[in-house]
Amino acid sequence: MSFLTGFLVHLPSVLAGMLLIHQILPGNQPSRLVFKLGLGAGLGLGATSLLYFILLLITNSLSGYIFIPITLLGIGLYLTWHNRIQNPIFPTIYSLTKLQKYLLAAFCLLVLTSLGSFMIHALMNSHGGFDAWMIYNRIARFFYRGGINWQNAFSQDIYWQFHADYPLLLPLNLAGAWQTLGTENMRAAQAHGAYIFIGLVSLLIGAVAILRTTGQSLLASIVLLGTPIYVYESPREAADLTLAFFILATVACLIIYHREQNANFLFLAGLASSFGAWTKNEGLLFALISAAACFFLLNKNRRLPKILFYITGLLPLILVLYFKYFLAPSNDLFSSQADLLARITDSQRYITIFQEFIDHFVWFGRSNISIPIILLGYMLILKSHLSSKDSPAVVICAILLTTQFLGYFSIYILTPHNLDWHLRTSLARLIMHLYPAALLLYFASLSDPEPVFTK
Amino acid sequence: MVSYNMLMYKKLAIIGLVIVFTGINFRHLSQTAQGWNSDFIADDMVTHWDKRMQPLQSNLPINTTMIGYVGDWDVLPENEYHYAGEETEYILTQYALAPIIVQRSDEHEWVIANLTPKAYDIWITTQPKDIEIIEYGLRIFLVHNP
Repeated sequence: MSFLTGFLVHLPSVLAGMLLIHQILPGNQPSRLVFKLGLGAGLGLGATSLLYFILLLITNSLSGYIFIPITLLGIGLYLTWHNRIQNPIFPTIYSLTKLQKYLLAAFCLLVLTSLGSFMIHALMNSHGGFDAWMIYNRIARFFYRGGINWQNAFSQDIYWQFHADYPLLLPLNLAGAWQTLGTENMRAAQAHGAYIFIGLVSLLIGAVAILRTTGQSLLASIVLLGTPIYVYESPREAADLTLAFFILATVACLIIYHREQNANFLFLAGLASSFGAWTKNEGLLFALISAAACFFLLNKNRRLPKILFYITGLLPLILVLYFKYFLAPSNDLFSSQADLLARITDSQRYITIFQEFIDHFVWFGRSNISIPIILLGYMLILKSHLSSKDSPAVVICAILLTTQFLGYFSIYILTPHNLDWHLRTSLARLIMHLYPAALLLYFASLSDPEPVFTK
Repeated sequence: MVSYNMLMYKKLAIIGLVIVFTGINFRHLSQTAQGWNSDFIADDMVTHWDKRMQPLQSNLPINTTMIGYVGDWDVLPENEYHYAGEETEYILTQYALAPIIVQRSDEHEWVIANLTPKAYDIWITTQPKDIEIIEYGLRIFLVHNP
């Protein structure tokens, strides 16, 4: 029963996100609907969390959470009904080739096995993983149990390791769900992770299908589902999967914008990157870098004025910055500047971090087989087939992800904590942020499977 | 002939990619299923710690906002405690008692002492004589400094 209520409490946010995005991005081709389904799941949950934060600041009360997604859902339903003739929501009929049917069957099989893994992890770890009860669920408890004293969650007296400065997308959605259900239902946190995971897979399928073919999109989803760390992390109630979702959403919207020149994609890219900043501190770095990437992309197209759409999408960042400057305690990484110069000039640190990056990258994914090496081999055989119209956007987004990766490298150089401990406890999850977006670029650049099987 | 071979390699690569990633996914399910323990559904480590902290929490005054915490890592030399275990139990305690802030210090009116017998014997010698101690079993004590 708690599983059911945990899923139901977030459902209005997810549905509202899908329906509202359907109004912003018309089209009922199956690939577009799958894309909007995925994008809507994350953006709906992100919007609900941010609006709840505004409500909390205004009323200083936790009540009223559920009215936010219900109102958004009402608006979405009204607009969908009102525009049903010119913007139908039911998919156009689309027949699959024999190869696509086989790939779809493999995908469905992986969905079932992933569901099995998810359920086992979820049932055995109702409070999630270490980070969940150290950070996100703990902050949610401070909110839910603390009531009007919810700001105690950001007390300077809280030990640094609890990361009281982390952004609030997850804790607010969880506290709001508990407030709605009247109990600390831990399944609500796992349902949040499940919706984000479904959104991540749908978003990747939809984006690759829009840019390439159905077969290519199914291959991409098989690789994502076959990378166990994602199904392992989704019920663990931490924010890394959510950030991976928003990074993928930003990159997908930027590339599709470049292909179609529909400025609403820029707005959604800005929105996704600002929700990333509302999810984790690393998201703030990504919002900054992705804004620069958007600038270069538009400048190259001589469409710089369109950046206003992206900036409009970034407006939620104002709330994130408000939170960081007026509520959150200082970040542990930057609070201790002692020995900073020594850390920066210590060449051994660079070597250690580089070696760990290589090791974690090669063995990324919680698999006994090196997934990146398999993908490298596949790329060498299938070869690149990037269309000239997509290549500027794909290259700029590849630079964006590389810069984010270098940003993570710099954090390890600067960290005042024990370097081995810091690398051991966080590096795999940092790679996890970028992998789905990297998969999108990878499959958007390779030859499609369909022509291979029709020759 | 070369292009025919290349086509065959491409077909094999696509089929291979699907098989390998399906295999990895199945292996993960199998490993996860091997770790299955139905006892954890109702009583995993975190739930268990929550339950241990409940009677202690009920003995704290209602308006308590901050308490102290001492563990073996505050008393014993570094080689005589397991850091990860100490850290986990401290974090679990904070999680269980939220929204009360649990600080790593014994300079509070109320202090949780999570100490092995050896650490307890050392720690108690450093404390004032008039403190009140309630024992909850399994190394957990609630200390009141009047």
